[in-house]
Amino acid sequence: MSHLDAVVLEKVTKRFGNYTAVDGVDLVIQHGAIHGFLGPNGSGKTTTLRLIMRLFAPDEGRVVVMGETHGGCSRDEVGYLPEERGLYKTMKVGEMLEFLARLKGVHQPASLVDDWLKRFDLFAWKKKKIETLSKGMAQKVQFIGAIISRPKLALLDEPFSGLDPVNALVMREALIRLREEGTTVILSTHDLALAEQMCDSFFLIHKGKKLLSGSWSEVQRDHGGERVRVSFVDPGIRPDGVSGVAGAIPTGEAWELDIAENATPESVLAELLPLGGIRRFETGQASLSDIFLRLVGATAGASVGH
Amino acid sequence: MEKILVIARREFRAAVVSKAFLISIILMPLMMLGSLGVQIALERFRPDEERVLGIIDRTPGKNLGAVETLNLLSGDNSTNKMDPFGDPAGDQGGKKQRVRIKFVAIEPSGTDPESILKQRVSVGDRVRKRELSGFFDIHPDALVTPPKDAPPREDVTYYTDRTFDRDVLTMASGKVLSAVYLQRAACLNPLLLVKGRNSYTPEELSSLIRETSKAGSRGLSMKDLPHFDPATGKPVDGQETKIAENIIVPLVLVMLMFIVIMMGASPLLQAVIEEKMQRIAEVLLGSAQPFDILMGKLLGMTTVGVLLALVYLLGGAFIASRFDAARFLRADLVLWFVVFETMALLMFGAVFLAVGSAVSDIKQAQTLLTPVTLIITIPLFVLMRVIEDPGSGLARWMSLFPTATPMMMLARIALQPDLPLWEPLLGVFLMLITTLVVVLLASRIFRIGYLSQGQAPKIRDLIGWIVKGE
Repeated sequence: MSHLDAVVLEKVTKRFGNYTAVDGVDLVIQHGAIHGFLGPNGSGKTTTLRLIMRLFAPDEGRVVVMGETHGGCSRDEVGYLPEERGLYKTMKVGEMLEFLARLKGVHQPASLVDDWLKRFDLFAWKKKKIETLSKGMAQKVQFIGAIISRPKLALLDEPFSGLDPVNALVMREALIRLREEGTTVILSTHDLALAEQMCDSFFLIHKGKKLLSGSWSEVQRDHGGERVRVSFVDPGIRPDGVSGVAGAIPTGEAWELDIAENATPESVLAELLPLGGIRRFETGQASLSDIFLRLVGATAGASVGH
Repeated sequence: MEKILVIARREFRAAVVSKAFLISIILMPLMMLGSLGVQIALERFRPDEERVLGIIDRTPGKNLGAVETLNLLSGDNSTNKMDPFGDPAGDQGGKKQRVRIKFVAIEPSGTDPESILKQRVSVGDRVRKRELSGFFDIHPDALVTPPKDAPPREDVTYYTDRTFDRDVLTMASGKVLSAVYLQRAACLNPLLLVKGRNSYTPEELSSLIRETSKAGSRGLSMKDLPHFDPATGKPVDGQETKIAENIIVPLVLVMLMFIVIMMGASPLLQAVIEEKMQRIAEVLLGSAQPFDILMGKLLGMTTVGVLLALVYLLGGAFIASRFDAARFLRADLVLWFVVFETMALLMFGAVFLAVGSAVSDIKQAQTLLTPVTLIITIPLFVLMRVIEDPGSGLARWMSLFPTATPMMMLARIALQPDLPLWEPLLGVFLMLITTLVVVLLASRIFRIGYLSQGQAPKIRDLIGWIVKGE
């Protein structure tokens, strides 16, 4: 590992009884970027994040965070937004954030709290109890609590869930600002379109095993390729099984087709024409969703926003 | 340490700035009053009982002695039955009394000390045989007003084998003392008796008694039964029993300690379970080590508990001062109380935190709590035996057993002001080690349990968490 690495996982395995949640995962996350952490439900994302946070110890392998193997002071340098939100319901918003900031070693958090509350349009709620907030507001408070200490590394598990589009935009801007200020962000999300727009690199895990990692260009190079989107006049027509189609996933009335290595969009079109009337035929680069679905499989696709 | 203090401060504020704390401040006296009320209510179901009390009146000139005075006041000329200010049938204020007091006059022996002692041993034997419930011994000089500045004198002594004879204290001793003081007044001015019973108003009688009881008298002394020394064969007088010091102070302090432990430590269990249910645990663990969280919570709760106890101690001291009884709350006793209460809260609080972290709801906690509650309660079972004999082997060993040390050692310190310092210090040392071990073990359970959900672990699982750390 180098001094540029924020997180290094070396052949990390974590088991719970007979169930292996994380299976021999290797991962290097460099400083100063937003890293998308992807995977279907139950793939081992949360366990991996907890391993990085040292909430769990690995059964095998090594976890290095900010250059430290055994935690130590690195906990203060890491902001953590867990998947399951938790705030003291009877505490006031301002007090809650000051408490979380002090826990991270911020000595005079009052002005910092005010700044963040204003930025998220929550200042009027500063003296209100957490229990009076809506789910989205509480989500924002929790997010502020995770990054208020301006950590060097932020682990955010589904920060956009429960947010309306306006607040999602505010959150997105906050993440981009964090990156600009030098914070390394690990963003676990199911929103693949958003991840594609925001993240500088990606890490995909499924059934505890790493399926891909790297920058967008590396992912495209290794797992991308051309995609075809086709829809038929007769919705009953199925293009799977046609020569030159490596995989076909239904998306509403259309199909996303994965083109085999020895085929081209033109050859596939020629194979499709005999099936019946074609309403629409488009070609393009594989999206993150396409790659995700191809790697994880159609069974996981049902739970993924497309 | 900084994180521990941040968490402790939040816990303290959350506990103190809450309705629950205010309610608990009011609730505890209500609980104590409630238990008193229950005892009073239970009196109604007490079987009728006749308490026979002997009176050895050693005052000279028996015709004008205490017995005659009592009879003069009560209008009852029976020599054996003296209930001077009440109804001989025991009906006071229209309420049927479950306990009736019957006095029996006992002819005094010779006036030399040995004869007096022998007689006391002999009457004491009648008490042991349950012929008598106890006996009053009225000093020969009781009717003589002591000179000014003379040391306090024992005028009336009550001998009993009971540690705390409430019936006699409330129903008989005041009357006997009043009779003695009234007779003393009569000795000063025999013409007082000429007026006869009906000529005195209650205010006049009170005034007479007050005047004569002011000077150099200790009032009623209470002693345990005299006996023959088995080694020398000589009669030995009973040892004085001091009810306030020997019963009330240790009992109240130990009960206060127990209640504060239960009221202080139990909410920790509830709080940890709630934090797990509300998913706050993971947020905290993202910022602090499990040990810091555990210690922060412990410190916060302990401060709240000690504050609560001090509020009650100050309240108790204020009330005691109104009744001229504040001297019973010795400064060293209060200090030891704070030391032992603090350590008990830390030790038992850590256990409650560990249990709370290991379960997902209160129902699951019940199974694990049973042995913990039993350990906390055991000292109460032997408390009376320790109070009766604080120097016994049982009392010493119990007070050095770390989980029982806070209550037992405190009771012993209250009862034995001259207890060698090494004993409480050894108790503190052993408790300190135990508390450290308990906190360390609890933190291992806490570290794993705090994030766990679902089925409650078995004892075997908990041991696994402690030993293997997983």
